Amino acid sequence: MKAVVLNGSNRDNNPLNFWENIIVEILKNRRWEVETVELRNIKLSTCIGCFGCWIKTPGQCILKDNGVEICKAVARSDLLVLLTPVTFGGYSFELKKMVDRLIPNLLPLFTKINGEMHHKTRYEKNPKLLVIGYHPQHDEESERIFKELVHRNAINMDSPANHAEVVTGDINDAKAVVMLRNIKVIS
Amino acid sequence: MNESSKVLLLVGSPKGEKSVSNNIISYILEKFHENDVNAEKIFIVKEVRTDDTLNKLVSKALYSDILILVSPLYVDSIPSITIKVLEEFYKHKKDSYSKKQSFMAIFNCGFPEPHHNDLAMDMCKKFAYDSGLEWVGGVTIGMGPSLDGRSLEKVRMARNLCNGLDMAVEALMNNESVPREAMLIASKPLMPLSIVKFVMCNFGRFLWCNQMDKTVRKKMYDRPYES
Repeated sequence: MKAVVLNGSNRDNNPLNFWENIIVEILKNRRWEVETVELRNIKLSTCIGCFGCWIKTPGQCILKDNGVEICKAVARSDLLVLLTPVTFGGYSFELKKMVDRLIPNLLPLFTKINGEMHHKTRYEKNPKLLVIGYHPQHDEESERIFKELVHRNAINMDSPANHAEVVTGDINDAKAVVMLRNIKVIS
Repeated sequence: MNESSKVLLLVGSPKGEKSVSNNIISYILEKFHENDVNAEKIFIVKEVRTDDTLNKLVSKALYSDILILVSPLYVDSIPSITIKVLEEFYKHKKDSYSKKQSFMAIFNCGFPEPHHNDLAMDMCKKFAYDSGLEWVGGVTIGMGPSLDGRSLEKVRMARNLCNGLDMAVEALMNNESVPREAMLIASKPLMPLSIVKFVMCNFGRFLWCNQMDKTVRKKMYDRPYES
C-alpha cells in the first residue's frame, strides 16, 4: 500500500511538521510505503489553466517540473495525505499549487454525481484522501468550510474514502497519536 | 463614494488577459469609468512573479476603498496565485492602519451549476472578515467558458449577469452593499440547467475533441501513470 504525503506548510517550523512526523510513523508501522514532499522546498509552478493536460498531452501536465512526478505518485497511490495551514477555511498557497496541478488525473469529460456535474476520473482506482488542517485556535467557520472543501475534493477525485481534521495548537503528542490512530482511512 | 475613492479590480485567473474573469472585469471597469470613478484593473498572474511586484500589488490594494476580485474556480476553490495575494494582503493588513475597505468577489466555473462556486465565496467572506474588510456581496457564475473571448454585452445569454452587475456597480458607487436581488439576478444560470447537463454529459466528448489535434483525440483516455 502506497501513501503520498504532501506538506503545504509555509515555513520550516510550522506545527504541521509535528503532525507529518506522527502520521508518517503510524503509516510506516502499519507497513505503508510512504513518500513525503515538503512543497515549499521544491520547484513547482502554479497551474496556468491551459488545459494542455487534457487537449495536448492527455494525462500529463505540459509544465515540466516536480509537479509531474508528484502527479504520477498520486495516481499510483492508495492514500493521499494533505497537510496545510487552514487559510480562510481553505488550503495554503503552497498546497493549492499542487492540488491545482492534479487535474491531469481527471478527464475533461463530465458525469453526474448526485445530480451534480463533475469531471470523470482518468484512472479506475483513485487514492483515499486524508487532509489535516492546522489553525492556531478553534474557528467554527474555518472548520466548516475546510471539511466541506475536503468532501467536495473527494467527490471530484473519486476518492473511495476521505477524512478531514482541523487541529489546533493545544494538542500534545499522546493525544495526537490517539486521534490519528483512530482515523479509518489510514487503518 | 467621493471623488478620491479608488476601486481596485483584481483578475484572479492564471490565464490573465485571455480569461473569462478579464471579460467580466472589463465590463465592470467600463461601468465605473462611465461614472468617472477612479477604477483600475490588475492581473494577479503578472504581479505574483516576484516579491517586489507582489508587494506593490498589496500596497495598492491596501490603499483602495473597494476591492473586487473576479476569479475562476480551480478544484472547488480559489486558484493558488490568488490565494497567495489574499495571504499577503491579510499579513500586511494586520499591520497597517485601519482604513475602511469593502470587498466583493465574483467566481465563475466551467460546470453549469453556479453553486459549485459557493465554497470559494465562503472563503472570500472569511478572508474579508479575518482581514477587517467589509463584505459587500458576491456573484457565482456557471458555464463560464461560454463567456470566453467576447465582451459580455455581446453575449445574449449574459443579459441577467449584466443587469445584476449594473445594479452591483450602482450600489457600490452609493456606498451600499450589493443588493441581494442583484446577486441573485447575476448568479442565475446562463441556460436552463437540464439542457446544459444533457448536452455536456452526452456530447461533451465532441466539444473537447474540437479543441484537440486529430492525433491527440485517440489519446484522450490515456493513463500514462497507470502502475
